[in-house]
Amino acid sequence: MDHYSQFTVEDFVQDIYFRNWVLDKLSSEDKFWENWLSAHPGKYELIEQAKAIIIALEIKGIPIDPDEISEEIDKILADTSSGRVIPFYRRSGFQMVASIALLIGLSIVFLRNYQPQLLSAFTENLVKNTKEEKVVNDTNRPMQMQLSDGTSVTLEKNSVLRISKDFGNIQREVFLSGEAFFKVSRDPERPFLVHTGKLTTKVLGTSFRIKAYDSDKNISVSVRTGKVTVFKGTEKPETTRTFSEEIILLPNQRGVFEKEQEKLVKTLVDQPVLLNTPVKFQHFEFEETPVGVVFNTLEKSYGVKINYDAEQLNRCTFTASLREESLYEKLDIICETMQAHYEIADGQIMIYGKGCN
Amino acid sequence: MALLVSDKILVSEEEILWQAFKAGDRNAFSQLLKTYYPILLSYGVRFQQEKDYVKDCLHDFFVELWNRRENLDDVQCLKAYLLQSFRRRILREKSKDKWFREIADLDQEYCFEVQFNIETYLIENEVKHEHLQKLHTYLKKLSKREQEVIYLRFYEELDYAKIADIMSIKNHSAVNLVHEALKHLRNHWFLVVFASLFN
Repeated sequence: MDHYSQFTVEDFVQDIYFRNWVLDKLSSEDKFWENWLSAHPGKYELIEQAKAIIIALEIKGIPIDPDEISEEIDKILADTSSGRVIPFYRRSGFQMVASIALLIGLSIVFLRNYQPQLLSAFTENLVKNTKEEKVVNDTNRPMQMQLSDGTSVTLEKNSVLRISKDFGNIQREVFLSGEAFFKVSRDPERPFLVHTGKLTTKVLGTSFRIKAYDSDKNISVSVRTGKVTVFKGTEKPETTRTFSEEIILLPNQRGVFEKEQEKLVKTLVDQPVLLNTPVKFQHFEFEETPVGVVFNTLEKSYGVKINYDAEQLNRCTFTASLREESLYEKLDIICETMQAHYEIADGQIMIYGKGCN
Repeated sequence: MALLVSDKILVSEEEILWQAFKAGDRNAFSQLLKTYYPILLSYGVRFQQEKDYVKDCLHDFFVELWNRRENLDDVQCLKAYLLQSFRRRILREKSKDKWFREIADLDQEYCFEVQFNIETYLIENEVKHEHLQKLHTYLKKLSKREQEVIYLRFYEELDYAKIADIMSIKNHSAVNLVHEALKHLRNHWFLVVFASLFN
């Protein structure tokens, strides 16, 4: 904060924080400027000058009666309600009363003929601080729904999904609190964005699950198919994010955002599932198969990268018939036969072993 | 809904308001009026002291805004946008009164009046102090443009880019106008005496 020691009087006069202090607009707990002054006693005179200028240049507000303003506002509202422009010189008390009556009349007709949600949409939104359509799942079961672009969403219980008002215009934007599985219809022209607090997930067309309960310490994004981009940032991702804060997730990978540290890490999902790959990769019948081939098969089947020291493990082979086991169980079995172990790091699997004789 | 409580979303509230207004939402229009009518009125009376005249201008301004809402652009800062459009309108209205003048011409000589705290103080207390009187004379000599920049910068707390847009001047001209005025004031060291009266 010590760029302030370089400040001239003019700089101080224009500094909003300093102005607010001089004009008594800071909270009384904020002792920054008092502390700063005692740390920089040499700046006393400069600060006094800046204070003086700020006070001298305060502009006197025009006294405006709130009733007068609301009367004017009512006139404007009345004159716009019929969709007709009435020049101000033709307004009179009678016309005003008439237009108010007309407004009321029209409102009644409008309210009867149209869905009331339309009219009250904005008021409601202001109160709830949202602009969208909102789906709340307070039942005990997951809720299935389809969005206008064909995307299907399974909203878990205790979750809220809000759909942006101009969903689909330029991009497809939704806001999630809680947990949901998305199967997004492919549309490269209009990216699909899920906002969850400080984390945004962007996809073109894939399926993935997001868990973002307010009470949880993490937000997690697990990818089933396709490619998902996850980054920090809320509303305007394009302008605020830097690339270091962005990660790309592939199937069976999971991005975990730690809310407190605002840290984004890549790992794997709890239960990696088989991808829709050609059938030959879904057979796990191995007989004296070099482990390299075994890992390659698993990589293809689950779309998860498996790293190992090929030279060290080149004499290891594997014989077994694997079926219903999960990816992790399969890895356990394979590793056991060659006294190796595995770790998950950055969304990939690392195999550590001494090799075979 | 903790999900939504972040600075960014709060800021974009005015974008939401503007979009809703453009879509013809009456509640949004009413909200927009409540927020910006007082700001525009107090800005308008700086150009034209007759308040009823400004109120009529504002009436027509907002009616027109409503009627043209579908053709309006998206705006980044609603406040700056409205100040700019209204400024243009009120200057145009004034030029109609003086129909023989070119608008550009008029813009050079437009009127903008603010009263600074210190002036009020000097007048109300009939201060005779020589230095303060000199300062008073100096403030009276501030050009209309300088006064307007100071108003937008300190009263409305807008940044220079927005001020430049509103007044149709270059960014650095706006910066210079404020800096010059402040530099002059600084030379009046006795301001300190004045400020101490308020503390």
